[in-house]
Amino acid sequence: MSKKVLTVDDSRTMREMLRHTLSSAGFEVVTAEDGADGIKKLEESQPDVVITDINMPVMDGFEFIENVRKNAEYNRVPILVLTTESAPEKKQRAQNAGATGWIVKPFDPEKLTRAVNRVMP
Amino acid sequence: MSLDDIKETFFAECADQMADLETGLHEIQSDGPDMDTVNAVFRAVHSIKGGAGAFGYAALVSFAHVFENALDVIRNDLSQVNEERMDLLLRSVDVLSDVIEAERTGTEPTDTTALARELEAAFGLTAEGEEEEDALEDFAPVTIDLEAFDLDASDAAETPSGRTYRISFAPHASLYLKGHDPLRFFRELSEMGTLGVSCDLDSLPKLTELSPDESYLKWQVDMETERDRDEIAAVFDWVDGECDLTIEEIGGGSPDGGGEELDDFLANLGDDPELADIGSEETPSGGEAASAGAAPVAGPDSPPSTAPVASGGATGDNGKDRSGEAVRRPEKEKKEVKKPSQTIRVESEKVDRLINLMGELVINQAMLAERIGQAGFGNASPAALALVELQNLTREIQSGVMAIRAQPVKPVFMRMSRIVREVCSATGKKALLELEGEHTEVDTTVIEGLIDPLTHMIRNAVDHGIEDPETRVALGKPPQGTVKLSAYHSSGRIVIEIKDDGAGINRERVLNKAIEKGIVGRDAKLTDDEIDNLIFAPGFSTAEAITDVSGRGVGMDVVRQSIQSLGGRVSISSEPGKGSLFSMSLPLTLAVLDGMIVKEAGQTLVLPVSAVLETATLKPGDVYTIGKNHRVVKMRNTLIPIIDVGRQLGFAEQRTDFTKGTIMVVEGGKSGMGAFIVDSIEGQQQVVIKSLETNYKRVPSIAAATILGNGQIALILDCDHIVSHNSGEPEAELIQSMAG
Repeated sequence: MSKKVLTVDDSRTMREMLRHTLSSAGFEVVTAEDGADGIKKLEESQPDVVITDINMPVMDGFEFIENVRKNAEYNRVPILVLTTESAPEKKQRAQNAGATGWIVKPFDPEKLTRAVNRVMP
Repeated sequence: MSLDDIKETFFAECADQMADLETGLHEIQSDGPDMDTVNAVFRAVHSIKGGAGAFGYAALVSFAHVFENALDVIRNDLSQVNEERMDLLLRSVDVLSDVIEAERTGTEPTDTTALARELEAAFGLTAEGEEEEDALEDFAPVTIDLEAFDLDASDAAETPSGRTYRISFAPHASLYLKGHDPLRFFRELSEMGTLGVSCDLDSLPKLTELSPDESYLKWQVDMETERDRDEIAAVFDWVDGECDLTIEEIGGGSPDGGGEELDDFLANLGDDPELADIGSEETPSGGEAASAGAAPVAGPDSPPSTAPVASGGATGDNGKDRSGEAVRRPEKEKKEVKKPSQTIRVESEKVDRLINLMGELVINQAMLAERIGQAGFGNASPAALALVELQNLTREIQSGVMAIRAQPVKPVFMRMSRIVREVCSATGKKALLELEGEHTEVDTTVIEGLIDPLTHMIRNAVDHGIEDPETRVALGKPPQGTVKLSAYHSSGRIVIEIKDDGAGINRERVLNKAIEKGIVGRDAKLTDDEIDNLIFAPGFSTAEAITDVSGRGVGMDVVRQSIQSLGGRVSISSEPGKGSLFSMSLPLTLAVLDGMIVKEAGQTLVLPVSAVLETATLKPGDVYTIGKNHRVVKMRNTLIPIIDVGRQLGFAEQRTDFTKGTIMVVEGGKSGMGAFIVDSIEGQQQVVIKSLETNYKRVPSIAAATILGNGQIALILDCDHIVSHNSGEPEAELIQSMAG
């Protein structure tokens, strides 16, 4: 069974890029539009790895990660943060929230796939 | 979805983001900054930058980056907003939109350097060079350097050459909280070289003292590899601060890892049932824990309330309590989250098809009504009652389908604020565009047709209407003029108004110009209203000198024409010294039309109701003959040429008795009014517009066709064309065959 990746990003373009890249790499892809949608999809789809943006409406990436980590059932799912935010304190905040790793936008498809494989259980 | 499709998605999304961006900035400008709006505005630019980066649009990325940094200043401190900065940000929106367009069309992007510098200066950002360096520095540590693990990794593992490292790895409890698993680090390291791994169980307490929230295990990995130290350290990039890590080179030789090979080790960790039977030696290692999917390990630095707890049996009572809380909290937060309305994107072709089918349905229902009438069923008969039900349903479907294509006029209105800024900067005037009713919806086909006339009128309002700041101050007005653009629905149509607080129309000048150009006679006596409306006359331009902004060879006559081609009307009222008001009334859609159904020489014709000013019957003395064939009627204080529609279109003989028909005074574009004479008026009804051009070919004097309830095709008249081409002679024979 192919591994499942949940991507959370408010940009339609980015969601399509991620879907394109990850499904070509053989992953099953579920997309969510913001953190709140992400929480919903997390429980519905039970992904192996989550990739999330930081800047999002409704519920941003930090809050999303915190909520995932609070969720008793899915708190161990690896979460990669995909962001253009370059500030170290933002990175630190994401790490404190419980992020597993970082990928900087724009992403290189091969590097993204490797990053996902790197944390894939 | 191919990459090209994704690019299309990107540009479509850019358009949305630009609209959000502009709206947000306008809100900030009018209502002052609030965090939500500023965040939304920031996100818009941020998203554009993100997508642009993905496609390698360097010019777009670089300008969006500066823009984003400027917005970040406001995001960090709302009091940083001032008028000068807002002005810059709005100009940046225009430039950003140009850059996007250039990237989309693959043309040379606009030079953004000057504006970028201005932004940097105004927002106290560092100079561009430094900025980029900073950004790179920031980026570097978070970039995952996977080059180190390229595809040759397995080869390297088979032929290790020389270097041996000793890696001591002691995860903190917090490492597990971030979804990490030591197993994965070893898996990655094993792709880089040959490993020998030993696990240090010394800190492991007795089972009774063991806390599932703690981390007790340490590992020592001896690794023989070609890679250098940095590449090995990169594997642990993401757990910086979450573990104690040392990597030291211990020279050549075979790895000394306590004898246990990685594979065995992993096998033990994952599957070995004996491992679970060790009792006091049971290892709550991350490896096992994560693969079992249920190990609670809380970091000592984590507050208890945020400690994740497992739902599995390994959890103690204490854990269960907290588990309850942990589950409840996200649920509560979910309720507070406002759910945006769900939308779908559909290709416009699909909607167009639906609208066509809806048109067929309307026609079909009209046919059915006619058949039922012919069959002699009474109004109270079951068939007739069922028809009424069907008519109600059809009407609802029709408005529902139309609503799909209905869009708020907002995007067009937003474009106008750019026009105002451009004209202001070209003329040195100061003006602010106020919007009202921008959420009013209208069919997309109408919106598209609105852009050009609106642009022209807004441009005129600033260029001709608003006085320059000094004059305004001298007149006791605020130096900044206001142009108010509003939209509202009124009896099934949309009304769009452009109101300025400028000088108003200089009637003396307008009249003199009209006389000079021969538009009106030298001794003409015109009302103020009539003088104002002269600016719509063809070839009329009030500008004394042709400025950069207007005077592009397009006059208000063209504006009126394009509004009329949308089935709309435009009028002006003006008060000298106070300003002018242009008012447009347009249909909500171009798919159906309110038609006046008329009969002429046995043919059924349709006139757009919007074009008809009044109807009348004539008495013998009302008609005057000019020349051989030209007849006029005196109405509305003026002489209106009578147009014998049947004769003009070529399917009826010249009418001799003008008192037998009905006159319809029609507004017909450039040439003013025409009095159409037809045999009778049948009634008024909505008709579905069918393009003649698409289905047959373009026919002069005919705007489109429709299908009536009896299945007959009826032609919709192009009033504008008929009035302006009224020669008293019939149109081409072609029309005879069409109408026959």
